[in-house]
Amino acid sequence: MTTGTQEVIGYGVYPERLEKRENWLERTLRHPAMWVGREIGHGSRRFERLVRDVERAAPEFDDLDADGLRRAAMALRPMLRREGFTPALVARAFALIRAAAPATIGMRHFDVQLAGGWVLLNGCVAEMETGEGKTLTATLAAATAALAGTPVHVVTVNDYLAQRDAEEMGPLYRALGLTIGCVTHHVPPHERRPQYECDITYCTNKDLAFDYLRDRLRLKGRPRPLRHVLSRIAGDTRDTGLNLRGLHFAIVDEVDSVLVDEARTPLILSAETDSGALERVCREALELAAQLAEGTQFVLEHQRTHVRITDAGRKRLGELVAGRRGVWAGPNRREELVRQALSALHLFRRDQQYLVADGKVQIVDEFTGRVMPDRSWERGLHQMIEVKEGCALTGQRETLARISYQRFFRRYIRLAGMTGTAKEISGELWSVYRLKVMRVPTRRPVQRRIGGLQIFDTADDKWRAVLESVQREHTKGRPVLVGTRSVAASERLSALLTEAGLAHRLLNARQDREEADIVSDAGQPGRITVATNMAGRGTDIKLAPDSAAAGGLHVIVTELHEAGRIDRQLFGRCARQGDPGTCEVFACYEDELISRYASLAPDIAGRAPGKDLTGPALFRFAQRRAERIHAMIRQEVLEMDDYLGDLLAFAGRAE
Amino acid sequence: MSNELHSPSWYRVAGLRPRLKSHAEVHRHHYRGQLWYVLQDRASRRMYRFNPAAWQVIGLLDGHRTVQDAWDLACHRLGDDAPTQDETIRLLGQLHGADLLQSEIAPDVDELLRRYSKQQSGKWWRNVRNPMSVKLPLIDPDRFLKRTLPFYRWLFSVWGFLLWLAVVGGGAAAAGLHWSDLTNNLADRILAPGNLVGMLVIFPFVKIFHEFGHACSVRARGGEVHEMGVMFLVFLPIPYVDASASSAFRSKWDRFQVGGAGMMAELALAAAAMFVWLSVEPGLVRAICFNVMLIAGISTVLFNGNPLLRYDGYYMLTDLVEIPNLGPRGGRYLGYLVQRYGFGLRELQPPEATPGERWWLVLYTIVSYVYRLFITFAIVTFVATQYFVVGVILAVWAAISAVLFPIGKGIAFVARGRNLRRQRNRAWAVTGGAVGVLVAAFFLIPFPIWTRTQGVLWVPEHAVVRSESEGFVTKLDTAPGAFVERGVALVSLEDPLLEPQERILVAKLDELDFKLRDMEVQDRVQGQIVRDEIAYTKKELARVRERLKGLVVESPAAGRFVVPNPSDLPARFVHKGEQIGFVAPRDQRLVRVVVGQDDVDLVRRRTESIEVRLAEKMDDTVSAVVLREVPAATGELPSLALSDRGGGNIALDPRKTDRPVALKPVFHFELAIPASDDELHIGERVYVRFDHGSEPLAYQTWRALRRLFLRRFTV
Repeated sequence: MTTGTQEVIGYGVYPERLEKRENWLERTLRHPAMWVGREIGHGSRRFERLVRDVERAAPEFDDLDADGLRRAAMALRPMLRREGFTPALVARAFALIRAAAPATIGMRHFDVQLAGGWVLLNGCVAEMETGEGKTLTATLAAATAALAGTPVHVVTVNDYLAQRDAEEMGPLYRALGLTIGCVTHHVPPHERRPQYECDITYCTNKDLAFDYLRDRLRLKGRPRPLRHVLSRIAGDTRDTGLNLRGLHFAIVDEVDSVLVDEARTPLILSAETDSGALERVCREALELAAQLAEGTQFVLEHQRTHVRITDAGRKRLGELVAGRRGVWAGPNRREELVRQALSALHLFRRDQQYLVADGKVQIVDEFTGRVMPDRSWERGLHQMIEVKEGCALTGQRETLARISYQRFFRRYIRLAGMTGTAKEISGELWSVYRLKVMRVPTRRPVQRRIGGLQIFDTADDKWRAVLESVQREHTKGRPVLVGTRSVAASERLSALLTEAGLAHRLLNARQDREEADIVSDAGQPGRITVATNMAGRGTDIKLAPDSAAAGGLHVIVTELHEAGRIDRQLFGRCARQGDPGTCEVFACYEDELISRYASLAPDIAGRAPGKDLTGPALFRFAQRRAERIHAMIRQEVLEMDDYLGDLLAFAGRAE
Repeated sequence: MSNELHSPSWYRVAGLRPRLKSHAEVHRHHYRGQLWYVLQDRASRRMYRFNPAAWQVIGLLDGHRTVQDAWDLACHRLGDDAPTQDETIRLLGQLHGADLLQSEIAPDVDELLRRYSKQQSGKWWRNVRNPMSVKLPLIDPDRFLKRTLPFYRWLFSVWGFLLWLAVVGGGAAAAGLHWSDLTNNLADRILAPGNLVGMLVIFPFVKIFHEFGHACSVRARGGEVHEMGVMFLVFLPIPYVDASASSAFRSKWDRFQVGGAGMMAELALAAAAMFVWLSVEPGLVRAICFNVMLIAGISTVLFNGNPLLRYDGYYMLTDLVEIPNLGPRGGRYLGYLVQRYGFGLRELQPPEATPGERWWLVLYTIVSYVYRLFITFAIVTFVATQYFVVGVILAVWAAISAVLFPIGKGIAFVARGRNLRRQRNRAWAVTGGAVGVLVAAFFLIPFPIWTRTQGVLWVPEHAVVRSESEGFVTKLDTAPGAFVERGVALVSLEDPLLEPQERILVAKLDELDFKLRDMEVQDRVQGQIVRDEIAYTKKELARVRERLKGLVVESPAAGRFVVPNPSDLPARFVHKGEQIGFVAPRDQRLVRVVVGQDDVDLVRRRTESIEVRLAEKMDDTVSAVVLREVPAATGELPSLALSDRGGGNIALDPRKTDRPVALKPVFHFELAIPASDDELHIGERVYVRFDHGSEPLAYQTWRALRRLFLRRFTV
């Protein structure tokens, strides 16, 4: 890795990485391998040499006008293509890009961003503090790879960010003679292909994966690249109708959220079929389920993620359906339906796992609090929840193809990513994606002060304390951002604030420009913003000068999340780029984290003498347990994918 | 994989139009009253068994219907019995894995290649783990079998069977008649180096005969036999034949007979060898016949016929009880039981098995595993006594493959097994608990330890009643069984010559007295002669008087007077020094016990109590104490009854023909048991159990091993 990789990424028709199973030696050695060379800090030789090389190459480009820059870029392209990413050429490319930046986008890359770009180009994860300019960093790697002739996908987490980044960085790429495309939800299918044909395409992870799935469907008969080539040679010049050109190089922003938090979300390409008899069956199942008693006839297991019908419940069910025909006649079928109905009734709660908006049930990602409008649960569960909430039934969807982000991103020939919080998951990124995490230093020292964890017995106590804290900081004239775990919690807090006469803005993870505007305004003096933790992610909260003088942004975390990373992402909202800022964390023993992952413990640890010591330890334990369980589930999903892949090999290598 | 009705992966198979490959043949079988469909892959010679519900789906897949259509139809027809989508996918996956499925879509080539290389490396690993059973296919005997069919077909009929019965019955009868000739010194004859070589040479030929038994049996019933070759069992080449075509036979008796045909062929061969053995003179031919009988008669019954080992007997058993694949399924079922009840995996689907089958599965698996361990242990110890180093190597290998490897696999499963995720802590707890209990049992819980040996009832020399003169018994002065003091007259004898003799001597003495008086005056020299004669006669008289006195036998000690057969005694002639009876100690009986040198240390150092049973009264145990022990090892035995010739368990040294001497040195102990009113049979066999208290098995094992190695290296 020290000299850069020599090869250029991906030739041929629709290149993608073939799946490769690890053998036991690789599995054993992968952990030691991960620890080699993780730092690219100030004073490290690699960093110094890169900066020196870039600066040595800089005079060549610094005083060029637009035309000159374009010509220099044209001259660099064949060299990169021929020789690959040699250190000298990469330095020249970086120097060129840095030289083109001020005139086009009004920014200039810092030295640490050069380091970040180098990390990305080498197919690693750059761990950079929030606010260090990840978007700008990505341009270095993206443009260099594009100059070498590699199609680059820059992947962001939402439409707004993709569009904003493409617009803001577009001039820089165009100045280098590169084309830039952008795919968001709003781009109609037939217009996507030209966007993907650009040198660099900004897109969201979801659109990208779905477009890939559509391609896979088209390619069903020709699963291997050799088949494409052969059919080309055989004179098949038909329009393939494919969206992508292959999976060459992806730079994933917020890599932890895309590759880890959402890793096991299956992306399902489906077609709607008519619901017909389904509604009646769902209703009947829900009626039956309502007649079973919790505890004796069914139990909720495994941190309330599973329903199990007991033998008594089976018997009762048999009595209830006696005489009915059709799906209710056989015990297996009716028990599955009732189990789904019980899940719909007891496991899935409104405003936590889903929202009801516009008469539709919309799934909320528990991790991110984000609404996922196009997703639906499978096997009738969605319809049962619709019945439960009295919504109109959507038709049952028939799956056409599915893939998880885990599998999808593993197919990239080269993958790179950026995030602020990758420490805990570096092992997983390495083992699943072969991504090495490298820390990129901050430009200025961080001035963030994080207050200790404050623990309360009840949720009421906690919210009162949150309110007091908001009031206290508000009177100082500081902007306050309160992060909540769920939409319901943010609404509860909003009500409390209104009651206290505090003007505030409420954000509910809709992820659009308006939301981004609110977030970027959240740094105004005295501004109070309540948001679920992911709201407006990717948008800088720029501090107004008065706010900075008052002590910077104050971030209140109202509940610990299931991953410590997400807490730290919230912390990262304040004190960017050397600004001042403070954070406070409130938690209580009634939080879901505790009731799910340490349900027995609060009585012992929380009420015991010396709970100042045991309380935080308990929360740390619960959080760590949650992280471990989630990591395990992801690992399992991956293994299950492999198993299914083998089992279903007769159905071809489709998704 | 869960077993829910709808599968999220269904969309991948729903539109496929697969069908079975044409080389797959289907047979309807009944197992334990249930209908099954057996799919025979004639290319790979494997069999797959499907229940009617699964078969319904497979049968509907004809290459025109989609999987969705077939499944819908099956659901319509079977209702709740129809396989779920998950089951259907698994079924199709298994068929594909068996290379029996063909569809309009090119399968995933990666998976095919991966499976191929996995199979290859699996084969390699199997050979490494089990270097002693490498298979080498050589010929396809089918054409030969087909052409020679007319020659042997009649053998597999009722008449053939009767003929076989006659031959084998005759052989067995002949063997019974000559049993002692055959078995005399058997172990030495078998293990003589020259004979071992002979056996090694003969063994493969006998087994070729055996394998042709299978092959012909399959062919005679219409099956095809396409593979014959050699496998190396413990480096010994052994022919094998692939008779898997028999599992397609519908009748279980056909399958059963194919399994038994090999043994039947061998037994017939053994009978033939018996007849030859009888009719030829000792020499090479006879030696060969003897070995053939040994291999074909005994080893085939012990090994091939044993259902607990995976040879013919096992397959015959599975056919008989109609549980194909008994062994592997048993292992899986036990695994299920452990996971379901031990680890608490409630959702786990039990492997398909009827209630009757479950008992078979559980019992067979446990019994056969224990038996295999035992037989391995026995073989290893047997080899170790002959070839120590080889034995130790074998023992290490056996321990690794039969004990350590399964344990390692089990631990890996508990640590990483996918479906244990939710219950891993419990799995660890249960496993740890079970291992802990075993370890505790091994190291902490004391188990009784004892030494058993034999001895005889015994009296000390000074308590034996012997006559001091010879004569006829006239009467018993003391009634047998009475308690006597020392010196009491017990038995009176009579010697009719002694009293006259005394009188003659007295008279002679008188005569000599007179003569002396006479001579002393006349001739002093003559007088001296007479004086000497007087002295001599006096001595003579004293001797006679002593013998007279000895006619009354007195008690040599205080105790109970015991005469073995008192009624025989009167008028019996007794030699001088002959034993008439005993005066047994009043309060105790003595027992003389011999202890082998292996056990003597334990007996000496930590005997806590001793129990004795008399051969005549086996039900009663009496406790005993050690009176004294002979400190040195000896070859002498207190009674021939303790030697193997006398029905005991001490081997005698065959080289010492003049008197019985134990082959290995023994130690003598004298024990005392309480006296009883019963008749005392001196020399009676007693069974003695030295109780050494109890000790954890670990120490006991350690002591046994140490003894084994000490004996190996110090002798």
